Amino acid sequence: MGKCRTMIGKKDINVKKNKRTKIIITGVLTVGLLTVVLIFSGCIQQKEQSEDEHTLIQASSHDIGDINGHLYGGAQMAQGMVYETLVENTFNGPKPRLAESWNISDDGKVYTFYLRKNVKFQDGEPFNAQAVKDNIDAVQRNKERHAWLALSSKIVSCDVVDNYTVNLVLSEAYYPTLNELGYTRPYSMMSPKCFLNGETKNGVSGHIGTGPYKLIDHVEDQYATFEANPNYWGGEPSIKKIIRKVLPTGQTTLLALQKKEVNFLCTESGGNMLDFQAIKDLEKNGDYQITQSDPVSTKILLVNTGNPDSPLADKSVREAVWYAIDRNSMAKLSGGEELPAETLMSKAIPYCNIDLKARSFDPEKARQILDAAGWKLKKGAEYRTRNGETLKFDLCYFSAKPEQKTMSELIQSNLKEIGIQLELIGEENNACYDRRKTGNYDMLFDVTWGVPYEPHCTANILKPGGSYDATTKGLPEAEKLNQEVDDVLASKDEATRKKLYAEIFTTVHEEANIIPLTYGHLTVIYPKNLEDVHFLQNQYEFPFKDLKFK
Amino acid sequence: MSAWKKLKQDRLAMCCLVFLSSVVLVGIFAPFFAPNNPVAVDTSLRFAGPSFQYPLGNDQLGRCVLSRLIYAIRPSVLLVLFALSITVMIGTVLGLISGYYKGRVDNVIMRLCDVMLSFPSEVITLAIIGIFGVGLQNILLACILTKWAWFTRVIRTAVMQFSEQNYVQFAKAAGCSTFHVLTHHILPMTLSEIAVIFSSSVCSLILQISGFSFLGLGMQAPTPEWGMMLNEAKDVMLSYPTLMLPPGIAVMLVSASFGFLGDSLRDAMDPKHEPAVTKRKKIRSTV
Repeated sequence: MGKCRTMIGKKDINVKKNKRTKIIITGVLTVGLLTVVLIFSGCIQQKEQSEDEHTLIQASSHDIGDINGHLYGGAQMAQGMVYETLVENTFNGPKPRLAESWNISDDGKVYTFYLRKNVKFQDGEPFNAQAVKDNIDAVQRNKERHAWLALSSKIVSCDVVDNYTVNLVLSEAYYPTLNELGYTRPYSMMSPKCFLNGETKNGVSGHIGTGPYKLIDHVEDQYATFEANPNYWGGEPSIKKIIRKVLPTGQTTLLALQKKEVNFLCTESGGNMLDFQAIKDLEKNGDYQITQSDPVSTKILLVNTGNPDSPLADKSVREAVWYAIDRNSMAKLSGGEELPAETLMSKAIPYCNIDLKARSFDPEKARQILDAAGWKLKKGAEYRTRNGETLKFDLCYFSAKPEQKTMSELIQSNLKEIGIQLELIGEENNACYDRRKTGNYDMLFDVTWGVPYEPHCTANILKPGGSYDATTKGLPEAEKLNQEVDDVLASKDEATRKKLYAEIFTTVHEEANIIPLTYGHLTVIYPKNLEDVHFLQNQYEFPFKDLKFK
Repeated sequence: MSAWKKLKQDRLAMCCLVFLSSVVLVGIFAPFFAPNNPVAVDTSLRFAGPSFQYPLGNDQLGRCVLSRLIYAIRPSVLLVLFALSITVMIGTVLGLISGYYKGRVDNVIMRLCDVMLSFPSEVITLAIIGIFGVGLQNILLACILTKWAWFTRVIRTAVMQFSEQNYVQFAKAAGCSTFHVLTHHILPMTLSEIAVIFSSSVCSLILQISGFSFLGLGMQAPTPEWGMMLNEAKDVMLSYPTLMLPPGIAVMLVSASFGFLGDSLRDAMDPKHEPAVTKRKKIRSTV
């Protein structure tokens, strides 16, 4: 019995002790945690030397994937390092790349390319007319996959004329042919030795092109290593090694830059995911430089007009939304690197210098429009109603892009001001792409592709079956718009083209079915001693071959 | 010695209780306590530091951090309490039935519990979010679905202890209805057990909800929520590290308080435990 009492007594002491220990442990842990945070932020200041001063280590949020140049699974930036195309899109129009020159027949249906001689694939295979034919035929056998690109439906055949001359025969004249042949995908040139049974659509046995860099090592979701191609026809690039590391976006990347685990970063289109203040601080510390491109893309809201039950089927509601969004404030959110956008296409884009009426931020006007459309704000109510129905719709955004969430919340608050209830739905990329494809949205956050895809690719996807077709489905001019898009793509002279593009984008502007928000730039962060940093016309690629260290 | 008296002597428990009641009160009367509108956007105040008008500064859209913190008590604490109450209610009813009737009914209910308990709760939550979409109500629904089985188990065990007691037998013999026996003679005895499991699971649930909101699966914008505030602060961790502190500390204090309170409650309800003062005397006498 006595023993038993003692045991209970001990247990009591233990309980008492336990409680005290618990408080002490909690205290210690809290203090410890704070210390860790402090040490952590102290470490940030410390600088480590990277192994090799002359290696570019690029941080990227995603893996390069399968960089098969005829498909879209890989990172375009990496594809552009390894593969080349017949022509290259530059700020001054298409320029020779693997083709030295070309002729276009009078009816615009036959393109004759004279190929660059003494070009070899990285595996030593010669680059010649047969290789071009193999590549283009392989792409064409997977035509359905390239439906977004009107050229794929126009190519009839690719014929070898002699060892260094090919003829590309089209079913009808198509003015953006050279431009589209210049996209890294799908018409890039891969070594025919990599084809599996003459096909590329089911995968390839290697990633071998004619480009300035070779892919020599790739561990999925970790890194990819590129080495300069010593036999590159344009001369071996100055930077011998480029490592592309996969890092989670945001703060991890910034920390890695500070610690010099990476030394190069190019923001990705559609929401640079970096804290601009922190980037500026990096520049101030003196190890990095920042260069910003001209506006390359427009952040937009796609508005679904195809659902007659939705309030957005009514043009006045779309216009009210346009007037209600405070674009100047929105541009400020990006830390001053973006500009408010009043039109879908910036005036710098070919054929897009059109005079359009700006709908600047004017909530009062938005309210008047809604009142006139019958959406009334009852006394004391938060949101407008019409025949008992509340003025309410959804906005879907890419949850992986924190910037889009912030912008969406701003829009939500702007619309609340004029009595519209906006629900935000943040989803991962594939779910959003799926919504875009199927038109399952009221409003969807998106980013334009920029030149060289603009304006013709954007016009093309407004047609039924295109990824923006939900925005035009409900328009009274839908039919006319389709016809105009078809006409402009087949047009032969500049004047018609200009007139038709003006009509197309004026309709889109008037109908407010695509609401522009801001024009976005690309930003590159790179070591102080790196020179000749510039941009390509295509926002998804970067001219690594032109860079050099001082 | 009554449990309440014991609890009153426990200073830590009282501190937690006072703190939590004030948090709940502030949450209920949020419009009264919050200095500003928690969803009012003003981009000119983006990441502004603390000021008289905005005591804890402003976030990425220039919203008042303190007001958001206060309004966030509603989903982060009050809704959790509400969901848990429903869970406990389900658990109590099923536990009473199962423990009192035993036999086949008990068997059916317990096997059902086994099935529910064999799923990891995170998986069920993710599955429900996958089916019904993101949103706080779906996460709460998932919590109710996954937690009721556990409560049923615990309460059933308590009921079984008491249902064979002499006074219950007497009540039955005296002709009391089953409902009367359950509500007047068994339920009051199990209340202490219920209180303990309730307070100790609040803390885990608060963390879970904040965790899901941090991942963007819980509360949707613009309604403020602590986990979501943390997630937003994370994006500017290097330039504005202080933005993480208010929601972080709030989650920590509230869940720690519920944890401590749960522990103290268990000690207080346990008849084997006596307050520290008397304990020491006893120890001396036994040595």
